[in-house]
This record gives sequence, structure tokens and C-alpha cells, in this order.
Amino acid sequence: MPDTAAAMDQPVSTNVSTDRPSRLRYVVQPVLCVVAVAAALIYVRVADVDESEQRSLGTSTLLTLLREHLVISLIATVLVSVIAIPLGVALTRGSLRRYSKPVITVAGFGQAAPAIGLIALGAAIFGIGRTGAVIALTVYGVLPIVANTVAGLDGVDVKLIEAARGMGMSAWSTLLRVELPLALAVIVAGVRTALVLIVGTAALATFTGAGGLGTLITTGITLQQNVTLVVGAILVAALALFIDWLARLLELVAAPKGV
Amino acid sequence: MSDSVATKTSTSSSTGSGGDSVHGEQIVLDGITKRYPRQKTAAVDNVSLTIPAGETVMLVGPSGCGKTTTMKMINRLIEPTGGRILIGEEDVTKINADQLRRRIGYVIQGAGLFPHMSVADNIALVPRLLKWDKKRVSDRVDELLELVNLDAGQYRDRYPRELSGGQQQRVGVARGLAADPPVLLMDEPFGAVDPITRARLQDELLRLQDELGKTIVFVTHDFDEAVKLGDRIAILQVGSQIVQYDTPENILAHPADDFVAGFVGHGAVLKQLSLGRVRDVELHEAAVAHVGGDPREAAAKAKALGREHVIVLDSQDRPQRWLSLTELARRGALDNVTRDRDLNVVNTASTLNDALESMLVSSHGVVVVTGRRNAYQGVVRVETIMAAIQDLRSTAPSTPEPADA
Repeated sequence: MPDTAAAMDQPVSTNVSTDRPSRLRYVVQPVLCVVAVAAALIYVRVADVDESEQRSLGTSTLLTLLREHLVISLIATVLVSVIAIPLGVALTRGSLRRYSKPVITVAGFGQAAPAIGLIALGAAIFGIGRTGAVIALTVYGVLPIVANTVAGLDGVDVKLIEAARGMGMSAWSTLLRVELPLALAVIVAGVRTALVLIVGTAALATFTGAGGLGTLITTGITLQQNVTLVVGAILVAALALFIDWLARLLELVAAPKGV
Repeated sequence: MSDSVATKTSTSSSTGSGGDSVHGEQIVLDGITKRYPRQKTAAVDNVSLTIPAGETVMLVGPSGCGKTTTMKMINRLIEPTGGRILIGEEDVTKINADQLRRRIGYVIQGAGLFPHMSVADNIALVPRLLKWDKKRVSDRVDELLELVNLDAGQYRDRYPRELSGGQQQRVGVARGLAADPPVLLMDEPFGAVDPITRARLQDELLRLQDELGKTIVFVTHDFDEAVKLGDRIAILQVGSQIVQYDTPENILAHPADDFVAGFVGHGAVLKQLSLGRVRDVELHEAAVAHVGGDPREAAAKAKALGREHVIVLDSQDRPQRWLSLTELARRGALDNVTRDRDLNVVNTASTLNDALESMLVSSHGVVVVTGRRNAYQGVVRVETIMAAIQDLRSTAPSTPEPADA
């Protein structure tokens, strides 16, 4: 779909992408994740660590932190999808279309603001703990999804929309059966971008008491436990990569046939 | 001329839905106007036009003359700001636009097929909107694919990008005809295909229209296409002003003014040759054999007629290939005759120009003529065409009242 590609060359959507990675990536990426995690865990066994460090790296602690991290990220992603996709659709309809540029610009502020600032702000407004972090992460993920939804829908050939209307499909049914399916790949790519951003940024949620794998990093820094710090960093990175891989697989499965 | 007749007859019955009966409805444009806000001149200014039921009317004019706007006001993709449009007896300017469009076939340039839907799903769209049951929809899809000469089994489940441009356009026509609408709007449908495919698609449209008798409004900027396809041509100027509205014969013979004359271009007499249709000339009988028949009997018949070749037909009388007497002499010569892909065939609705062209390519000096459902009708001889051309030439310059096409 060359149209879509052209529509995506907007300066605002630098992290918007529908690049089709080579097949190699689908194999190498998860393998890399597994190797990194395995190496980290072996490092824990082999390295010279004291008791308190062993406690913060125990399997049950790691699993709890991982669960916290995923829960925060997934809630934020679901929330942002529920908000941003309909918003993007609305911004391509009739009279609302003229607001699409301003809204994408404002959503860009959320992206441009330092993530740590947003999370602190979330905690300041909604209190310490999970809620504030989730809301801050949600705001953080709005831009890629809105931008991609608008770009995806704008990339649908107007002739096809006119053909649909000309055949007697209602505006609603044209949206559901022609526009959204054809824009799906670009929209899903936006959701993936948001998801990966959120999973990465959720490492900062620990500063406002929301837990997550970032806790390992802060613990490592404050207690000068280098092993914990390194393992935490590797796990956060590996998780983001792994989620990215999973989402790309989903994209492949979700892509409509024939396009 | 009630609309229910046209939309409800000839649906699932796969054969015999033809006949010379007219399924179309009359369209009347009554002073329609389109004025865009903040524009001084109207895009379409007070246009009135009556399109008789079952006729093909070509809207021709330079780009920007408002011909497409005029057409899109019929299915109200563009809402007129003034005037009325009647389809049949009904004023359609006030009724629900989505409902209206389901009764009007719409075919656009480049087919406009939905890339994420299979060929069958594309064709089935309007029938499904009209809530036809599953069986009826799938029967109709197969029937339409056969109608536009695509093998249903082969193409039904393909996606548009797996088809050539010409095939896509056929599917586009099938989709426009899906719910058997009385009216078909075609917006430069053959503009995006190569000249050879275009000529073939035009021939097929002529054949289809022969069978179906729809009311067709066809927008084109190609005057030759208008002459070939139109029962009538409306030549439009800026503001969609109708400069001349007449049969192709009359426009060629008597252009209303310099604008039309310029549009008609040079060689108006030659263009009249493409007005002659194969059905208007005498057909000859060729020696005929059927697949699975007795070769010796066929050879004997051919000899009796004094022919060197026989044309082999399948069980549905569709021509397959020419066989020479020597080829016939082989044992079982008629047992397994496949279709010759290069076999030149013209339709009764084809122009004499096309017939002549086919003859020049084939080595037979005759060309096979098919009629409805591609069934064999006879052959045209080169002598017949030459005589017809002579005829047209001698009468062309002064045709006061040409025969109605």
C-alpha cells in the first residue's frame, strides 16, 4: 500500500512504523531474549552475591516484579487503545477532520515530555501507587496510536470509500467493513509501538511505588548491588524486545488477506 | 416499468434470464444544478436530460466539464442543489440515499475492488446488503462470473491483486450488476486498461447490454468509445451544458457546432464504420462439428459444402477450434478437442471494424460469430465486410434520418 507509506512520512510520526522486518528477525529476536535472560540468571548463580542481593533476585521476587510490570503495562495499553483508536477514527470523520493536526500535536506533547516527569505528575495528581502510574503510561502511549489510526485511515484509497458509498453501504458500514480492515495493519503497528514504549517506560513506575522490574534497578542503585542492577536492566530490555516480537506475530496473524 | 419488476426478476435462475425485454428504467434529469459554496459559477448548471429505458447514454466532454458530477448526482454521491431526478416514475432526490444506491449499479475506473475481500465477497456486497439468503447470493456470484466470462470455480476465491487489470474490471462490472439493478452508472470504467483489453471489455459490454437491456449512463472522455458503445451521446461543455444529444450517427453526420465538430475530430466517415455491427450483416454457415461427434460424418458434411475446415463446438455450442480435413481424418479427432486460445471470435454486437481486424489476423478469411452465452451463430466473410463498408461509405455523407441503432 504505497498510499499508506506516503501518509506515514509525516514528521510527527517518527516512531510510527509498519516496516516489514525480514523473516530472520522473527527467529533471532526471541532467541536473543531467551539467551539474555538465561545469561542473567546464570550470572546470578555464578557471581559473588551476598544474602540480601540473593533475596532481591530470588525467583519468587522476580516473578512478582514481572507480574506487576506486565499488569501495569497491559492495563495502560488496553486503556490507551480504547481511548486513542476511537479518537483517531473520530478525527478522520467529516467536520472533526480539521482538528486532527492540533490533536496529534497535543498528543505529541505527552510523548515529548520526559517519561519520568509524566509518571511523577501522575503520582502527584492520582497518588502514589499503581493508578497514577497507569494513567501516566496511558497518556504516554496516546500519540503513536492516534497518529497511526489517522494515518492508516487517511491512507485508504478514497476511490474505495466512494465505491463503497456508491454501492449503498452506509457510512458506518463503510468504516467497519472497508476503512478499518484496510487501515488495520497501520493501526496495529501503532498499538505495538505504544505497547513497547509502555513496557519500557513502566520500568520508571517503581519511583512512584507501583512496582515492576524497575524496582531491581532502583534497588541496585540505592544499595549498590551491581548484580541486581545489571539483571534488572537486562530483564527490562529483554521483556520489551519479547513483547515487541509477540506483537509483531499478532500483526502478521491479524493482517487481512489479499492486501 | 415498476422498479420491483426489474430488481426481483431474473435472479437465481442461471439460464434463460436474457431475452430482448428491457429491464432498465427511464432516467429523467429535470433542471439539476450543482452549486458549490463560495464558487461563482455552478459546476452543473440547470441540466435537463431524458435517458430512455434500456439505452446506453454516453456523457462525453472535456475534463472539468461536469460530466462526472452530473452522473454522481444520479446516485447522489453528490447532492444536487437544485432540480429533480426521476428514475422510472419516482423522484429520487428526496429518498434515502443508501437505499437508492443499492438499486443503481456503480462501476468505476480501475474497478475499485476491495483488496481485502475475495472476488466473490466483492460481488456479493450489495446482495448481502439487501439481505439475500446465502444460497441465492452464491448462485448469483457464480452466474455473474460466467456472465463476464470468468470461470467461477477458478476466480471466486481469489483476491483482486491476483487478477489482471482487465479481469479486475470484469469483476467490477459483475459487482455493479450483482443485485440486477435497472440502472447502471459507469464512470470511465475502461480508462485504466491497455487498448487491446479495453476493446475486448467494450465488446463484452455490448454483448451484456444486448442480453440485459439496462439503462446505462456512461461517462467517458473518449469520443471513439462513445461512438462504439452509445445508443445516444450527450456532448457536454463547461457547466455540463449539453451541446448536442443525439445518436452517434447523427452527431457524426451533423455536428451541432464547431465545438462538437472539434470533438468528433477528423475521419468522421471512417468512424462510422465502427457503427456497423456484425448483427446487421449477413452471416454464413460454416461446416460445424461437435466435440465427441463422428469425424467422418463431419468431414463428409464439410466436403458437401465445399469447405476445407470445420469449426468444432462444445456441448453448449461454444466454438472451440478450427480443424482441417486432414486433421479430421485422424482417428478420434473429435474426442478431445480443447479450446484454441488464439481462436478469433467476434460477437453479434461487435463492430464491423473488429470483425475485419480479427480476419486480418486469422488465416481463414472468415471469423466465427457468437451470440448469447458465446454460442455459435455463423461466420462473417471478408467479402461481406467489404460490401458493408462500401455501403456505409456511399450513404454516410448524407444521412438525413439514419436507422435507429
